[in-house]
Amino acid sequence: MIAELLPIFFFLGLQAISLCLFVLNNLFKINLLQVPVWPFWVTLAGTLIYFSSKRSKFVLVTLILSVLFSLPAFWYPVTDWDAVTLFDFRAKILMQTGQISDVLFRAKISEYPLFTSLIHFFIFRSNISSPMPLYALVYLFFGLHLYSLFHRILNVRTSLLFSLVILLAPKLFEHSLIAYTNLPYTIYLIIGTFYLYIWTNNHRRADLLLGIMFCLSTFWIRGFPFGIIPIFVAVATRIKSRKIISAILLLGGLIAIYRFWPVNIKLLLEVLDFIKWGVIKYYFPYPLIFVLTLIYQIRARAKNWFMPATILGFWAAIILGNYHYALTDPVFARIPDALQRTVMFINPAISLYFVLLSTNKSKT
Amino acid sequence: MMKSSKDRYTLSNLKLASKIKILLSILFLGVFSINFFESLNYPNYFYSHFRIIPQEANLVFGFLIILYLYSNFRHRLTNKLLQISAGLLLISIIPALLTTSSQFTARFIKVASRYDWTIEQKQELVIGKLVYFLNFVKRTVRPDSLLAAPPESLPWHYTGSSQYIRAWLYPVTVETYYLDKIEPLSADYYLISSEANGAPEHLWPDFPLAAEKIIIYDWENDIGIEYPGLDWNPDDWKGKSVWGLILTQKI
Repeated sequence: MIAELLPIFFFLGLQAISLCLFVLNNLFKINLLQVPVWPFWVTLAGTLIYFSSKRSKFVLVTLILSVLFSLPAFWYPVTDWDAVTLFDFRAKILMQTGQISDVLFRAKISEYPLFTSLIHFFIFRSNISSPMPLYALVYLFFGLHLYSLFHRILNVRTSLLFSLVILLAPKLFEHSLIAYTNLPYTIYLIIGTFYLYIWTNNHRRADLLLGIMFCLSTFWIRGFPFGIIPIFVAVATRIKSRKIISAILLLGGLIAIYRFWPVNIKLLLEVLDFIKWGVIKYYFPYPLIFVLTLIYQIRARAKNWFMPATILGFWAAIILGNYHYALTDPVFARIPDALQRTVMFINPAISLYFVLLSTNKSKT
Repeated sequence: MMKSSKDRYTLSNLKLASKIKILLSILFLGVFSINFFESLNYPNYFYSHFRIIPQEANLVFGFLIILYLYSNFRHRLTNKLLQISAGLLLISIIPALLTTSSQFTARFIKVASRYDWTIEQKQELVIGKLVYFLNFVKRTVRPDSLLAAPPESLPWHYTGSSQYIRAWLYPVTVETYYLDKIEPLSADYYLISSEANGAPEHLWPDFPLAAEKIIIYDWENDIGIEYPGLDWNPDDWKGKSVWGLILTQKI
């Protein structure tokens, strides 16, 4: 239980810090430079002491791993383009003025929410010169969180192995030293999806709540719509009538067609071609693993359709999102790296689907 | 009690499965070392010295592991589709495990050997010597001034990005120049850039300007050499790879 509570505390704690800073300045007009950081650190210390009293060995291992992961990261400054020009830049402005209104000129808050910028600000205010350890720790705690969730149903060795399989998905480790929002976005989305998957099996309210909280948290990291898909699919799994599900899907399709009517077929084909080489080929063999696992699920008549439906929803959103973007930008395919970063959650989602199905837990 | 020669732990007495495990462990160490030295030095380091491409060594090792797992554990995953999927997943994650673990280990050594580096030295690894020029500009221009930068097009990759320059020079206001702009910006400073970025060098500003003074950056000494009362004429500076600032003459 502690193994799961610790990463929950870490991830939701980060959300709480950034939202707290946002509300204090935006709603209560308190200059952020006047907000003390020590209460956060005291809370952290208190929580660690409490957890230590319950399972001291686990907390000690987590602390050692945290030091091991974050120590080299302290050396690295923020150098990646989007971080220098946006995410970290906003934190540096806040360090000078303490007013969120001063950073709004840089980008739309709905597209680029302030999550990482406010955490950077919090780190700088704590007299830590580089925010890079945040990303290394996010990666580590993702592994711990996955382990704790697998360990609910599997033994220690298999849980560790499966966590490693997901942690080694393309780009994740690379982003543990890049101050972009893609890694936190991916992690919150995958953890939220995992909780919702668990909920579809055990129907415990706590798992549903955590799943929804993690998925909704993604909207405070980047303005992408993917977080709503697992929530929608999880709710849909509770609807027993196939007719109602078909009707909802039909309605969704009609709304999409209405939204994008008249469909520019030539542009749509160009977008599909971009996704083909920009995502499917780039992340090969993950898309093929998804297809093979999906065929297995159909042939084995596995009953839990939450994971495949969620991943299919992700693909649909990737296609629609790119088509929507291509309507406004004629040279939409000029930065394939941006697309690859944005959709890097698809690979851990596919790994998760595969390992869950191969343990036969989805059949129940 | 002494063990008989039959019971001794010699290589010839080991079972085949144990021998394979030892062989795979040695291979892992070998391939890990290849990745480790590659991470520690530079891309293609191993190829340039030993004609070995780490990515290919990783794939070969991955295939060996798959063969080993298939021959020993295929009964655990009986369905062919799942076996193929597992194989595909393994062929992706085994090389990833090798590169990730070697990069992670190399990271410690790199950081330990460079622990006393200044922030500029670290930034230099990514954007080169430009870091010193940008810091010089930040030291020189007034915080409340308006700086005109080259147009947002190549070859001015860094200096032509208003977002990048603005982030570096904040709170200085930065505006990039437009190629089709006829009237010069009424800026306090113009950034002189000879950024080439792999393309033929293109000195900017490429038009004359009335100036109060020109400050040319001395890369070797990290200082500005001032030319007071001299107007900016690009023809005078072409081919000299100059960088610096023009303090404009306000009418």
